Amino acid sequence: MEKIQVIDDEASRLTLPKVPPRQEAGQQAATAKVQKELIGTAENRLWLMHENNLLQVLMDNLPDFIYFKDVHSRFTRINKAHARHLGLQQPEAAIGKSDADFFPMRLARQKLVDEQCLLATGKPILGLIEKSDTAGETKWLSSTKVPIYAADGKISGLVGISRDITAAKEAEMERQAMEAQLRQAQKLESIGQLAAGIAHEINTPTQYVGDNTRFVKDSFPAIMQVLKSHEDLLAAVKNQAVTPELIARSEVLIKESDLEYLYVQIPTALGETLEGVERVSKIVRAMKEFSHPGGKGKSLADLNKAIESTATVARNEWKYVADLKLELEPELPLVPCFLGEFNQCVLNLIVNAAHAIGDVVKKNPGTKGLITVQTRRDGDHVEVRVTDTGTGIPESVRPKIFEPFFTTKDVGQGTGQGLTVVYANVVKKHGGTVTFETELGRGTTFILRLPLHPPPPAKGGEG
Amino acid sequence: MKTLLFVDDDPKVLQGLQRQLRTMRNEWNMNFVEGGPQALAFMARQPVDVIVTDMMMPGMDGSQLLSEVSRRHPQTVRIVLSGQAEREAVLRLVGPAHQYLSKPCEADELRNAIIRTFSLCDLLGNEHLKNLTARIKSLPTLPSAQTRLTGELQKDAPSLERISEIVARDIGLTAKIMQLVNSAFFGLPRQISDPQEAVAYLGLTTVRALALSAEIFSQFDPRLCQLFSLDILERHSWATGLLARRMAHLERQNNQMMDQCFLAGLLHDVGQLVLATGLHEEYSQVILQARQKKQPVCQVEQELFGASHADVGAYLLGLWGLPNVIVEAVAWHHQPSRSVAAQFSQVMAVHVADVLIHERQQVYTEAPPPGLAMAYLEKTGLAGRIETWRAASLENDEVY
Repeated sequence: MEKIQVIDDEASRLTLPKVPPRQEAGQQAATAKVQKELIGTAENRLWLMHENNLLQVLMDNLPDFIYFKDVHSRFTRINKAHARHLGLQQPEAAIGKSDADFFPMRLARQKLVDEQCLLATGKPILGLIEKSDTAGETKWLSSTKVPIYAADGKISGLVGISRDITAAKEAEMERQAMEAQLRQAQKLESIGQLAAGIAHEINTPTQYVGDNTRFVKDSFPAIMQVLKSHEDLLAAVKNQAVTPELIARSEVLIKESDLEYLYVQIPTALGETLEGVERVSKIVRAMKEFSHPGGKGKSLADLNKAIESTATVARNEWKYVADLKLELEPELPLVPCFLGEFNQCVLNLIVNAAHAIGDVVKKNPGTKGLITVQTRRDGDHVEVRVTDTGTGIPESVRPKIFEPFFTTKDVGQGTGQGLTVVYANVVKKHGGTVTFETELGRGTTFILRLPLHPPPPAKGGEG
Repeated sequence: MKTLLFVDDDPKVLQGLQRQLRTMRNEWNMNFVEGGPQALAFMARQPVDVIVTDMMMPGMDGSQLLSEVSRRHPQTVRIVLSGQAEREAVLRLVGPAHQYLSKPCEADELRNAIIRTFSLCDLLGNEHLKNLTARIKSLPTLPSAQTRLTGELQKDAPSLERISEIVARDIGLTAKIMQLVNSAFFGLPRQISDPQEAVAYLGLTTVRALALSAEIFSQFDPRLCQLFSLDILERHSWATGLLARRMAHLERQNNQMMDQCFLAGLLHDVGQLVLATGLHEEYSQVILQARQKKQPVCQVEQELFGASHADVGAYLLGLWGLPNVIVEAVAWHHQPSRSVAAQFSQVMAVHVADVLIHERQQVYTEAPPPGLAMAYLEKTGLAGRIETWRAASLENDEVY
């Protein structure tokens, strides 16, 4: 057992903690009076020893860091847990030292500033999350520090309790990293799926662009032969040397060259080729817009354009089961947003809509559904509605649709993260809302609302 | 005139094809429809020699359409022309399609694929055999091969090498994997003839998906044609493949030639498997007669069917789009003189290896071996090599 030393003046400081007078002033004063009367007698000394003993047991056994400091932020007493954190064998070794002796300069200065502010104003620090680096280890602490008042009512120091929340903090950071990773994975998954669809979208026009161009190229020699024979004929006419052979040759060439067919087909072939090229470039443009790198901050974005690009990029996902109608408000204001994340949301909703319609089309082959994407301004918000004529969401499933990994799709069809990502992007990153209206057998509408003037993001701790 | 039917949900693709193939209009009767149901309606009215279809279409997709076509009109050659990019897609087509072409497809590539199927049609005169062969989605395998393959695939770390060997020892699996890897879908710059390379190229995921698909893995039922033994056929084929490759090596041929000799040797009797499973009663008759009258099997086949297993096998491999040299070597392995080659060739390797292996395996087959085409060997100046090759056939007893 450790011997407990009782030091008079310290004991008096300890036993006379004076809370700021505004708090239950009368009661506090009465307690102080009783205690004052007790000091000085032998019984009182015993009582003090007993009290101090209790305090010491408490300090030595609490895993939290407890420390007392004077007005210069120098340690006057610390417990064993804190000594261990500071790398000391004995708690007494800390007496007279300050944070600068144990922590990196920046950290020590920050603590000093906080504490001096407390000592000057008397305003306690409650539950401050702070990082605490000592030799070799980094801890996250939740610290509460309150002033200690001397008998004269002046602040004579402070007492602090810091709880080690490193494990919880790390778990939280891990969870955040995991969420970010999942969002990334979902993005990659949809990009992979999209890439195959886009390849298909490009391969089809490329097929007929190639066919048509080769057709024109292959037809040209025959056309040229006819033109050449006509040149010869024209020259002969000028020279009045037209022979039946020349005329016959031209006639044969015209007949052989399939001119009637070429007259009709070449202009159409060229027109369709240009259409095909336009289709490919439209897809490529949309891809460029869709894969917006999405910088660190929000930027003002034209959501209508973003929706058009996303619908084009995702065309292969919906075109076999549905038509897609865009009803976009032409006067829609620019919205501050993370464009990459917004595109991701629209993509997920369109793909979901196509799947929901696909289930209906499977039961009624030969039919097609409809996906409608609307935008409109509603006061301080912009509303995006994605409506499908699909199966609707069964009641039992409705509360779960935003949960991560919840899916009703077959294995390989989805990972159950699409709507989770929509929710995270709209609500957490944009301060908006996601709601839905659904009716079994009729379809579902998802409604995204994004604020036009989002409040500045709340400052979290560090990172 | 041959009748073709093109199916695509995009009318622009159809018009492009129509213009591009216009030069063939005097030889081909070409028809264009915009969907599966229209295609089936068309085929109900008139027979179609070749159907070329898109894969992704609303309502009925290409895979469903071709499955239906193979059921209703088995004689029609089924080709897919698709712009799909993912590998999984091709697995759905492994059964119903004979060949796959990728969009964008060069006009010559499409034209040649079609012309090639027409020349194949001329190869096999017997309509009944044609239907029988065109209907085949996969060839039966020995249960033991199946067990070994699935066993290997289920291991934590399956060995590509062991899987390749299991595949290479099995005629049906090898043929199927060669069909897949040589299809335009994979867009390989050269044709692959080495089963190990094919397996490595396709990768474990695809091979596993193939192995687990019921379309690919049908078990051989020995009760149907009791005189026919797939086990003996597979051993004979393996030995023939090895010897053909050894001969190519002895003749200082390059690696590609050696691979092709092996593959052609392995697959040269694939027609027997087709006949024994498709026409089991008639084929039992063939085997019986060959044994009783001491006639070579191919001679009896010719007599009873008007075509031999060489014709049937070549027709199947041609439909499946295997390299031409392999198809020719299989087609002419009894009559190498039909080849225009004036030196050592795949046809010669398979012909000679087949005869030499038969000499050694006669105990099992009971039918006499077909004779060596000595006149052709003399003409190419290789008759003097026979004894070297025969010695090579005696080197390795393990394979018999």
